[in-house]
Amino acid sequence: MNAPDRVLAAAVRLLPPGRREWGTAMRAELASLRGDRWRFTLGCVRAVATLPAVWRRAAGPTLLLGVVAATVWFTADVGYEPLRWGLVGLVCTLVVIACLGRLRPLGPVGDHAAARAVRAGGLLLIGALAAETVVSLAHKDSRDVTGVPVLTVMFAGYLLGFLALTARRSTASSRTLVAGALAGVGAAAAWTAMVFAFPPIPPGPALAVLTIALGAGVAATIAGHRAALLAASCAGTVGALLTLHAVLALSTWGPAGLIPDLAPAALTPADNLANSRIELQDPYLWLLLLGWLIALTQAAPLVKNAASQARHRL
Amino acid sequence: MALAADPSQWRYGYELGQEVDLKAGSLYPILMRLSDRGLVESRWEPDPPPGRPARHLYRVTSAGVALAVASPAGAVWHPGEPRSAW
Repeated sequence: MNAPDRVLAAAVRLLPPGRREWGTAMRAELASLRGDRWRFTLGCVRAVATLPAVWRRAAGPTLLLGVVAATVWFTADVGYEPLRWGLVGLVCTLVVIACLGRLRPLGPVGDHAAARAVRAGGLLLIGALAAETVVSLAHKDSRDVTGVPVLTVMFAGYLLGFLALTARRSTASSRTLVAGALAGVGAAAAWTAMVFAFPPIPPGPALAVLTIALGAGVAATIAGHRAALLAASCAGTVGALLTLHAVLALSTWGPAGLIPDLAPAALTPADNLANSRIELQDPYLWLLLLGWLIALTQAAPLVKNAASQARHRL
Repeated sequence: MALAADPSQWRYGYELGQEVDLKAGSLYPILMRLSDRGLVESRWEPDPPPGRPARHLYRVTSAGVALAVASPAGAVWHPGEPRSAW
């Protein structure tokens, strides 16, 4: 193969399965040409590049590569190399797992809109948490790297859970996913409403755990006996993630009246508030652990089945 | 229209592009759309020379011929004439 053949071969790989035959036709046409090969090749590349289906296919990988590149760029100022590359590793791990969502057994995504919506929502929630983690840890002089591997494992577990729950092989029906997701959103909304109605934000996660458990119960009831566990687990992970997001947002930007006094001996009221905002977030990290354990129960059956099928093939 | 001139004849993509003065970047998307709408059919070259893959051949379908016949005369473009902004 010479250069035009290579370029065209690479370009037609981007074609979606329904258009592959056209790629083969372009390559065969090029093989028969004696002159004008570059002109024909570039024309074909343009034809491939202007197909909307190609853009749809390439958008995901391009976005993920962009995220990794942005992380490398954003952490360039971090002086402690293990921390910098730990954060890049966190993002790369999540990107790799997100890519696994296109392959069996975690992919492709289920055929119904609920599967696509829950998967997209899950990726968005985890992505936002990962971004928040990178931004908060990527300080020039910080040398605290201990949280990075723990959070990497946590976020990876959540992603695996969402991908397994919404994969085509998953037994979760559209009704199950809708019930689970809405109950999780409802649980987080209920917690937020209670916090505003009866401030300040509780200094521990007990109320949040209770509302998430109630949401899981509602989801299980709506989904019915057979799908109860899947719907409850979906509500659990969505509820835990959304509530954690709410805590992070309210503790950072919420009005002072929402922040409990958690700083024992602060010098000024302003310092007291600033310290309390930081301290408030720590107990709620238990929610992350709770949701992570639930997410693992979502991923385990699918991974176990895939491993069993692989053993049978051998 | 180049295909409709002789509906029974199968044509190669490159040859067709040369005839209507279209580069591959314009020709293939048009052929794809016409094919999607059932106005053009394609098949693989039956006996390619040894060492070269079979090429695609294209031919206008009866629906494509009917559309070409029904098209207003002004919509027909002949090679060599300036094209309108369609």
